[in-house]
Amino acid sequence: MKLPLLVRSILVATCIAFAVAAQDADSLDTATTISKSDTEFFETHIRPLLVDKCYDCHSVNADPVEGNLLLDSRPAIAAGGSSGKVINGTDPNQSLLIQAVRWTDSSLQMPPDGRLSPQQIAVLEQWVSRGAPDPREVSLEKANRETREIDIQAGREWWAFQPLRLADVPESGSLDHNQVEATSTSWPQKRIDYFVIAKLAQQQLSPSPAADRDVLIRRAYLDLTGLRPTFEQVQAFVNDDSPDAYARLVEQLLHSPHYGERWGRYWLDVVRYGEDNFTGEATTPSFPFAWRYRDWVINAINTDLPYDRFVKLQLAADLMPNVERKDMVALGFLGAAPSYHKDGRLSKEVVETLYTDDWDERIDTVSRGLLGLTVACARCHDHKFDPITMSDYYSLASVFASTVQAPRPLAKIDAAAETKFMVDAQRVFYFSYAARLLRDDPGSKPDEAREKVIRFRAEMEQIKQENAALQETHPELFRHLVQLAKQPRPYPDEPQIESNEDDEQRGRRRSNSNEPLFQAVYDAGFHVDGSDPDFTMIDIRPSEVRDLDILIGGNVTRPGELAPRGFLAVLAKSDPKFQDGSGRLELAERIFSDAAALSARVIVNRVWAWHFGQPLVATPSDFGSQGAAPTHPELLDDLAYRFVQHGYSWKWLHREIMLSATYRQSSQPQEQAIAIDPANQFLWRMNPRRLDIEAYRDCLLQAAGTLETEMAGPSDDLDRSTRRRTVYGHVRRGRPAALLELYDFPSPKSHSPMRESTTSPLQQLFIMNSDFILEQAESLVENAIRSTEVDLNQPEHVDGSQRNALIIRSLYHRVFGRNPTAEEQRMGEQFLQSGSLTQYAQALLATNEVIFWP
Amino acid sequence: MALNEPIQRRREFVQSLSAGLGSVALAAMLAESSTTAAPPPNESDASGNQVAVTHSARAKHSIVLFMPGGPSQMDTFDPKPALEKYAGQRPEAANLRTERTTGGLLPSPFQFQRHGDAGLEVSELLPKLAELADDLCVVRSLYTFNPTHGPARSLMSSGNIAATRPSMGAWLDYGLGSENQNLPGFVVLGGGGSDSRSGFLPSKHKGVSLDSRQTDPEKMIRYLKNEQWPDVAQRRQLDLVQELNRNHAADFGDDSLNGRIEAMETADRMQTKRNSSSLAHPAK
Repeated sequence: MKLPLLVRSILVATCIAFAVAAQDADSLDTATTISKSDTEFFETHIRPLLVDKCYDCHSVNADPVEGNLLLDSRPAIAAGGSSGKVINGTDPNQSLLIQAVRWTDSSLQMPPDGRLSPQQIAVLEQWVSRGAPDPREVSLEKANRETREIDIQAGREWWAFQPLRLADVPESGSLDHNQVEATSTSWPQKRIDYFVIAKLAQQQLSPSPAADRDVLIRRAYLDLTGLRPTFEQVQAFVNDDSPDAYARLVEQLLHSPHYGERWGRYWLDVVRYGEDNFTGEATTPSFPFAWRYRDWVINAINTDLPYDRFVKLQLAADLMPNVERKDMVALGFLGAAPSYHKDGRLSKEVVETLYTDDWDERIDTVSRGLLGLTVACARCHDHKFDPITMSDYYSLASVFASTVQAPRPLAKIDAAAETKFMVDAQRVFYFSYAARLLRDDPGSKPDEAREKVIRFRAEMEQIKQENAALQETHPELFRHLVQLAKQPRPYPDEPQIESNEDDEQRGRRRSNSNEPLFQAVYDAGFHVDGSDPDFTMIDIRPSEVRDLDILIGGNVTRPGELAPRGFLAVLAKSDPKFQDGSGRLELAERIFSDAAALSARVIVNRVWAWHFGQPLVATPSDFGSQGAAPTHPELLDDLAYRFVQHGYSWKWLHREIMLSATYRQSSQPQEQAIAIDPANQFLWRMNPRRLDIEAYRDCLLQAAGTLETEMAGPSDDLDRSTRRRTVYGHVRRGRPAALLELYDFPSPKSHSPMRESTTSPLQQLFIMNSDFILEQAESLVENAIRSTEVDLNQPEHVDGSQRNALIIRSLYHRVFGRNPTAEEQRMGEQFLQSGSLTQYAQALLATNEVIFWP
Repeated sequence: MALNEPIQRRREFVQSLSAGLGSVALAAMLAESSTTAAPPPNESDASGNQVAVTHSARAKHSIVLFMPGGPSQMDTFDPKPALEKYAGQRPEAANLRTERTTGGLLPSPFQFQRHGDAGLEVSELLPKLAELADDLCVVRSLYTFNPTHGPARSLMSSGNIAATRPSMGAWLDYGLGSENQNLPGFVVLGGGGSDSRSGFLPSKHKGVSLDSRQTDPEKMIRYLKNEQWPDVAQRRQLDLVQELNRNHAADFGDDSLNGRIEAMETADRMQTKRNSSSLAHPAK
């Protein structure tokens, strides 16, 4: 902080005065335990006062520290400044500190820029009288490094970091047999069930009976595909007596392409999938090829790509050997990660700070999403609760500072040519952005601005020429470069050019493109170039990496020690440093070697939650000390262990869960059980659930007979009249589709640990009044009438009430997959005496039975 | 997500208290927080002993008017005399890079005067408001470090430029809950970006965004009106839905279904009363 000269001279005078008055104050030298009331007094009155009034010049953060006096810790105060001790025993009148704040001596007036209030002075006097109790053992800066020093060795003892263990549960089931037998010996179907029933027995609970078969088939369909079985499918299953009917059903559903659409979407929540940025500003355009990543995920799930490889491809497909080109699309995880707008007219420091925010997002998604750890908490200080240091954080940040977003071609291409294209695409984009900005808003130095515009135009032209050969080999890449090289408007004295593409066309292509490219990343050191004092540029160095310094307080202007690319120390089984390129591949590998136990627990817990509506660890993205403990730790470990043993197979895990007796329980409430375990933590029943928006909308379309099942391809705008599955809706980060917002779709700006489920009147207005629902009701009626036509043509059915009865039946088949009860039939017929079929159909679509599933 | 998650139960419990009870609970919570917080220095006596707080917090609602593009604080509530001294200059501390061209420092062209017993400085632009000076609390200690609209706005509403932090309203809704179980506790007129963000808090605390450019409630609230059915027909339709829902709830056996049944009734009240002024002017 810069102070006027006059103030400085007063400070010098002060120091001399302190030196003269140096006295003993031994009582302050020894660490003493201070009482609770003293601590409270200090924290309430003294600390805020010192921070506010004194730290600017008298703490380690002061530059310079005035009078060599620190007031930011007990030992520092005891040591005094250049002038010696400032507190003398417990007598305020003999203490320099008090003399200074009293302003009674004109050469010693603190704080120099304004006298404290009488109350503040009185509080300080009282503090000295009390013996200046002070809990601050070390100075500020040291506090960051020392008092929060994290014991990595001790941190390794945390339950979630322990190796996975197979529990001692033979398939025959001898887990505390007495308890199990007390309830039911025949109940368990899978290993899972032995753990569950043991916990239930401990709580004096017993499992619920199996769900009815019609409930079970709906549960399996909705769970695995997000769609309902037809009436006929329900009937066939209910009437199938063979013992393996349910297992065959699960198998059949696991082979349905709709399975990937449902489970791929779950994954997209984890990786905050989106197709644009929060603000569609000039430096943060949309990701027009992001939808290819969505399709890759759906396909990977459908083909049961092992989870470890699934994740590794998403982090580092470009660095792995033997990767098919189509699997490179997995890089969209990072390639379409959200970014903040960075205006080049801002200073290097501001722009660099915005990049550190981008890296922070990557760290957060990778650490919470894949490892269940809140590493992003260690950005400004070591993690307050978990064994994660700032050094860990910046080691990961270095990985992302060495990783740059760029589109890549779907077609095979020579590596050097591809890298050149990616670097050039970014450069062309930035030159175009800078040239257009400076052309339209030249600022205070118009001549220099014009000179830059001309230079940037020439750079763009140069890049286009250098890549001219692509026109033959990879025309899609050349088209992309040309499109990025959008020219600034010509100056008035230059020849004018006419645009041959209207803005709307360009806008559409920008948000959603069919060009054979995909969103990806590549290794390069990313730097911000502040050499031009008026315009901040970016500087990408493809053959380099960039290791960051720790940024003290997260501040880019306060670099600390170097934090080379590496893994979290607490999880690393060997030297955590990464050696190759950005280290993305090593990061991916460490997640499945050094951190294999943790990463397996995290995904198994997520899959469990997606099946049961409730996880075993209630905080699916925080397995640290602030997270919840697992309700069934042995079960989680046992299942995760076997998941790894079974090659990280998703489908194995689904079978293991869905074939269990636990999963097949009825969701009916039981009064006694609710009294003991209202939240059903111990799984005495299946959790009744509400459909998420994807399944809900899809089921409405399916019931109406309007669902289009075409898979893959560019996204549709859900606010317009698309009839494809919701997973193919355009996911915007800035302005989400209204329907998604209405029903708890998670913000794609950051990783989502779990869906929420809220109920609001606005949702009901949608169901009662929206065009969407009215259209579905009309189609539903048309289809119901059409399917009853054969019957309606029979002479015995001509009478009106017979006709309505048939249509009601058909509507029930379509909407609920079941027959109406006699009561429901009666209610329907009564309604239709004055209401229309469409009104009736809409009412059925609006019922709870459509959105809640047992 | 499961319907019977414990936190939801807790929230439901708080929310299901009637409005009267809810405000009692709210007042209690506020009173509690005001006594546990550190008293400001002027509420300590000369020897630093804490004195009893003589009043308890009475706030039940918080209305934030955030006016991007409104008149500058330097021309309204926050006189900056140093600007006069450095008028037209770019002293080192103020010589910042900005997005658009900026000249030297510009003092406010408006006169400030002290008003009320507190002597609050208010500029001549706000003569009427100045008469109420003693009813105002002006905070002049805010600062920003990012000059770009979006991030700076996020900083204002959430304390951080990252798009992941909850806004002030979301925190209030999280901490205090809603007095009315059927209506959102946090409503945003216009905006909808960082102002309404729930960030890492549960999404139910996200501000419900209403289109403030509209004055017609049918346009402010989406789907408020059914273009197809007359009110009477729709009420019959709703009666059928609710009867089916009640039968279903008896079978299904989960209390949470009632939440949707009630929300549907509230929605119906909203649409049938859509022309009443209470909806058009929720702030009153």
